Amino acid sequence: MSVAELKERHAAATATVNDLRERLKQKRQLLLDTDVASYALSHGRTPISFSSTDLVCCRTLRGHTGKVYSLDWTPERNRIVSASQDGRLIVWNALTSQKTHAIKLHCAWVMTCAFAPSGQSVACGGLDSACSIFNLNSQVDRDGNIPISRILTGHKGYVSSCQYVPDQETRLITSSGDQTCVLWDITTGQRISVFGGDFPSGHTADVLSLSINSANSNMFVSGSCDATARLWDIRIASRAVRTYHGHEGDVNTVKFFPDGQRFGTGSDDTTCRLFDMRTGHQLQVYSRPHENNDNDVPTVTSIAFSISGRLLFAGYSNGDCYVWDTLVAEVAFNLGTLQNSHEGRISCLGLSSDGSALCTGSWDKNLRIWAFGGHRMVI
Amino acid sequence: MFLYYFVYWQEGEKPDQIISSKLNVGGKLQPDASNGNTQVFINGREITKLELRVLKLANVQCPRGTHFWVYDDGSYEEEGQNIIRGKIWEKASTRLICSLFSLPTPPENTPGLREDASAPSSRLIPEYLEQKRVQKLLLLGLEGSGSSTIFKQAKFLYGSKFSAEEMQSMKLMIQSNLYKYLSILLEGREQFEDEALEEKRNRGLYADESHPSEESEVKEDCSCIYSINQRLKHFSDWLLEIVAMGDLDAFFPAATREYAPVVEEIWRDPAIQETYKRRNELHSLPNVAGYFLDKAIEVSSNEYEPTEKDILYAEGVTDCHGLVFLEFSLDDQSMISDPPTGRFDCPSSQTKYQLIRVDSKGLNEGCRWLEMFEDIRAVIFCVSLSDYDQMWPRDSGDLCNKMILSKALFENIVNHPSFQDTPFVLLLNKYDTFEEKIDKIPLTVCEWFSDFSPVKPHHTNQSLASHAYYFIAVKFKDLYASLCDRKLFVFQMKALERSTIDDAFKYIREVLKWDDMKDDNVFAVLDESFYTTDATYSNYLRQDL
Repeated sequence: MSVAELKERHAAATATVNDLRERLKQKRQLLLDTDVASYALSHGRTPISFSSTDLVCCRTLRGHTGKVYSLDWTPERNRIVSASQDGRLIVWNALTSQKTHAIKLHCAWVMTCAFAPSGQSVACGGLDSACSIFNLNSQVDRDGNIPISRILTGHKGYVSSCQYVPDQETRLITSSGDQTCVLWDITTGQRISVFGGDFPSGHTADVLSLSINSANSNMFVSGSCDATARLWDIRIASRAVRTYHGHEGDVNTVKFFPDGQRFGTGSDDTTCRLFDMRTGHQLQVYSRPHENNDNDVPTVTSIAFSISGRLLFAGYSNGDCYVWDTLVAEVAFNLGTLQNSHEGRISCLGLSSDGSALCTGSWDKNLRIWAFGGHRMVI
Repeated sequence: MFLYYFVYWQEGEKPDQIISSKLNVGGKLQPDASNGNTQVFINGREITKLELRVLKLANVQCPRGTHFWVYDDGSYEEEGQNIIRGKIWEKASTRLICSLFSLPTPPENTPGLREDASAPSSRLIPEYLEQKRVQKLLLLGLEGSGSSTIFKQAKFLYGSKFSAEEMQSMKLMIQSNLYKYLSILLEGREQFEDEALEEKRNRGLYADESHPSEESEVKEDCSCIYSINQRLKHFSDWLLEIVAMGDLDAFFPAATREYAPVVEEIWRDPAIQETYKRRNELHSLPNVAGYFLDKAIEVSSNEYEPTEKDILYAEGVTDCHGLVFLEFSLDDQSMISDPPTGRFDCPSSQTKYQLIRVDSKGLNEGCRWLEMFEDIRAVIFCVSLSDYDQMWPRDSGDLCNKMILSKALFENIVNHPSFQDTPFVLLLNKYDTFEEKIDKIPLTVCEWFSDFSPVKPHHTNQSLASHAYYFIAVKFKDLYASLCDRKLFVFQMKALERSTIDDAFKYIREVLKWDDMKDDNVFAVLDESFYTTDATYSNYLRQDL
């Protein structure tokens, strides 16, 4: 077949695909007769009440000399690792605010960090297009630095996010600016699977975030600059299980809902959305109340669900940290209005494993830990 | 336990060093420890006029009677209020003034593990001032603009030797690139073959009408100058398929040695040579392809060690796609404008540089990670002069004039919010190739330069090339001035010639020096203090300066 004929067939196939996509979209609109909030309110659910004493900043972790880009909690024992523009990873004890490790990175341009399930190792990645693993128990070298125990190379673009597979010390998934996600075997340093890339169902732009389903660790979802989120099955790398449309801007962050049946996303279009994993429906949009100036509406940089899922914490580029009531789609509280809140963009946030504390990291170089105060139960 | 020391001092004198306020030494500070008389207190000690001056310069509200509490990282609050107002030594100008007045400032990095204040000696320049002198330079440009060549030249000139890993990485990169070039040639060959056969068929149709007797001959002849034999076709199909599937790096460079003879055979095949002659139409084939394909056997062997020339010609810097950086120190006195000093006892000061090169592939519009480079001192943007007649595929796949694409990338970077105050240096590269080309292919093939109408060359002393070069430089300068109200610094070079790299870096350091002098309103503030009539004050000044 000649080149010209191939081009023609390719164009025809693309047109068919676009047509089908449009029809699917219309069908889906017909099926979406309500969203979560309308349903809940129509069934008499009331918004949760939240006041400024319910979530209190109980620790401020100071020590980074550059913007904080990423943080992660250990699965237990309340430690946090944070990555900053100053080229360091710092491991903190969240209860005492002490720094237990400060790791100087070879490539200072780090974008993400993660704790291993055992809490003995940390991984980080960034503009060096590689994911570096550090064992916190290793002997420091002559300069007092912890040496890299493994470096995972192979990405053709920056590493935007990394997460260990739950309960697996040797497996890690990374998302990258080269439009792929990769599952790695840390012991050999090899790629086990590549999700996306040259296969047609992969992302068509930089992948910015990923979240592994804690209820079923074979599934993970990734968010990308192509305004979609995609669901992947680790066992089947060749195609995405499902693609979720709806956002109008880069999807900066994705996080599974605690029950593993839904996931939330946050985007440059300033909204957070809740998607149903199996049907693909967009269940709810969480958009900020109308602002005065439409010019610089802050974008969503990071999200986390509370342990029951009733609350959605969303960090924004202007330092706001909204606590959304997911059921009625209203803002219960804005941590950014508190006096001791961050002074800059909130770049990352995460909930501790028992759900009792939220940690936020910001471009003001600090991390803050917020705990449910007083009589307020952890929800 | 709360402890009170803010500064280690000798009684009656100004403070010498800042140590942690948490240190348990000797008890509470006496209010008159420094003989201050300002009625402003820090950690219980009345501060001196000099310190008060510094506080004011740091924009700290300090009316008389204020009691401050300062933490060991420099953040301060009014005693008892628990509201951190800010950090006293946050601004660089504050720290600079402190060091000039020999006042101490807190160390910048607190890894938190060493809290011993046993290190005395505050007369040395504080650490962050030292850090401030690491000048970061961002180097970027489209593929083929020469940015990676410049990086490698800088490494040869100023950096340490390439390590064994780096050499290995480059070798693997060169080897796998060989197959990439080959696949581009083979694809081109197929396309040319299709077109030639199509043309032949069309001619054959006409021929049918006028020369019926040749009919059978034409119909049987399905070969042309681009055709290759069956065996090579088999290899070609296989290679093109794995490239299309994106699996090239699964096979190469691992299988390099095995296929080396085939590579050589294909490269020498007349069909491929014919294709290579039309390489202007093969847009993704870089100029260096021929250089490496000629040495295919040598490159493919296990014992291959890239020569310096090979390294410079190779595309890219490492087989990883991340950014690369290089740190080096240069004497400040080796710059163009510095007059030779007569003082032999003056130690030559050095400035540390960090040259960072990023791949242009990730630099699309609204690039998210560029903001990580907001602290760089200058952006070095590379453009290849000889790109004016080259076509290049955009992200969408369609072809566009490469110089126009460079212009678009340039605009994106200049407009990026992180670089609003950053000086830009434009390196117009490949002047030698440009010189050769300009006489044959007019500059106006690039629509941005369509208004280029040089005076006839033999009327002036300037060559057409140098005319065209100035025209392009002015085009970029005007574009830059229209985007921001600054001046663009332009420099001409031939990246493969090492001397031009050295000259380029001298030029860049001049640019940084001019930029530094522009920010010197800090010294204007100091000037004010020379005229104060306060006796105590000028005592300090005379002592230190």
